[in-house]
Amino acid sequence: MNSLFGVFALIALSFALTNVFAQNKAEIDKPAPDFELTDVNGVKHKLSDFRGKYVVLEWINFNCPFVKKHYDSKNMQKLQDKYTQQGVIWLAICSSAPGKEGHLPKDEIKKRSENYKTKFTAYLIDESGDVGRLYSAKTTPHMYIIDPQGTLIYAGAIDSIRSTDKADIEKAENYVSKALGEALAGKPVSTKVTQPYGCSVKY
Amino acid sequence: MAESNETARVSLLALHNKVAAGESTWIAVEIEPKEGWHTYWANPGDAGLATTVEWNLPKGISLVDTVWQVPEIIQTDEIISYGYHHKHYIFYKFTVPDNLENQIFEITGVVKWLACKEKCLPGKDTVKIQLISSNRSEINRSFSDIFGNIPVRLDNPLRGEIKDNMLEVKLSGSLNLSEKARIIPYLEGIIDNSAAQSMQGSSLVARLDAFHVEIPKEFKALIVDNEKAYDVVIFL
Repeated sequence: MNSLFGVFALIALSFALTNVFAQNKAEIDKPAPDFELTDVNGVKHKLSDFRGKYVVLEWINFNCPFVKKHYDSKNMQKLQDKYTQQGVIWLAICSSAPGKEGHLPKDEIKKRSENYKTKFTAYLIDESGDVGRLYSAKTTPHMYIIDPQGTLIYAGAIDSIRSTDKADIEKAENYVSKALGEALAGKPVSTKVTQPYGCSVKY
Repeated sequence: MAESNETARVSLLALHNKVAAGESTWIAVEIEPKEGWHTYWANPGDAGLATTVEWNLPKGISLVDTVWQVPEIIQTDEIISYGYHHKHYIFYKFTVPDNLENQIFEITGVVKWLACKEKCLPGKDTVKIQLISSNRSEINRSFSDIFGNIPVRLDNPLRGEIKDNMLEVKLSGSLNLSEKARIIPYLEGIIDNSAAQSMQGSSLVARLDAFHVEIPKEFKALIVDNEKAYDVVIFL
């Protein structure tokens, strides 16, 4: 009985490991670690199912002033709209733990997404923080781009001016737009890593 | 985003009541976060934002140096921040032109900060002070009370090397550090803020950030070792 339980536990463990934990953490120019998360509507999304497409990961916390900067100004929605229209998959991921800032009830997430007229493909809930840790996500926003072969080609800030001030957006260089623009034009990404800025991820 | 001064109180203090023309002086920005909030050092760490001051300086006055007090290392879950929960100062050094005696210079600073506890709020305030130039200087005695908790500046630069995702800083003979010493660049995105650091022979070794930015050939860093702190320049 004991050994049977042991085998069962081992199988369960190996499943858990293949889900997230057995993988190396994300590194630039390396295969982006796979994950599966459920969105706010209960639909599951697996990164590897999007092979063949560009995927943007956007760490999000609607209560964070840096996130508000890019949503109140519609900067984020414009980027989401522009690139999803070109076939890019855009996944917003919230790694706030239950009870922590930005961990919102599903109705509230839907309401805010509607009010903001967000254009992301899905809002994924990562309340264990496992996927956040897998990607070493530190801030909201923290942006990543994965190419159609599944390689991580950009990690870092949304743009070059580290502030909560909406007026800075048009003066800033948008790194996500630059990297996606280059990649979609078949060029190598010239700025692959930048230092993200924002609120801390509320693990 | 509404910016306010709800989360911290800021003011200015001058080293001199009167500054001798042609000499330099210091102005301190005093920042006192409200209970429970913290603001950030020059390198905020994994998240957050450094406090900044945009100076509006009268003609002839120039800013020549900035000194930050030693920050606290603040750990929230796996996120490391460098900042301050309590009253602290950022010191700014200005030079006064030598041909201008008996003048009043008004210096204005727009201070912007991010304050966080669990949530974060941006703050902003405008502060002013007058500098009076004279033929001889007169010290403001209360200033000496605040000139503490400042890193010792080491004149000789240290050699650094990047090896296998590690930064190795070779320490000079005059610098004796304990096993607890930690190096923190003034620039964000170089080292892994949560990783352990170690003394290996006469080198202090720190892990680089998994997504580190391009590392400049020369950069400023703080070394903290128990109660001691040093400002160093590292050459790769």
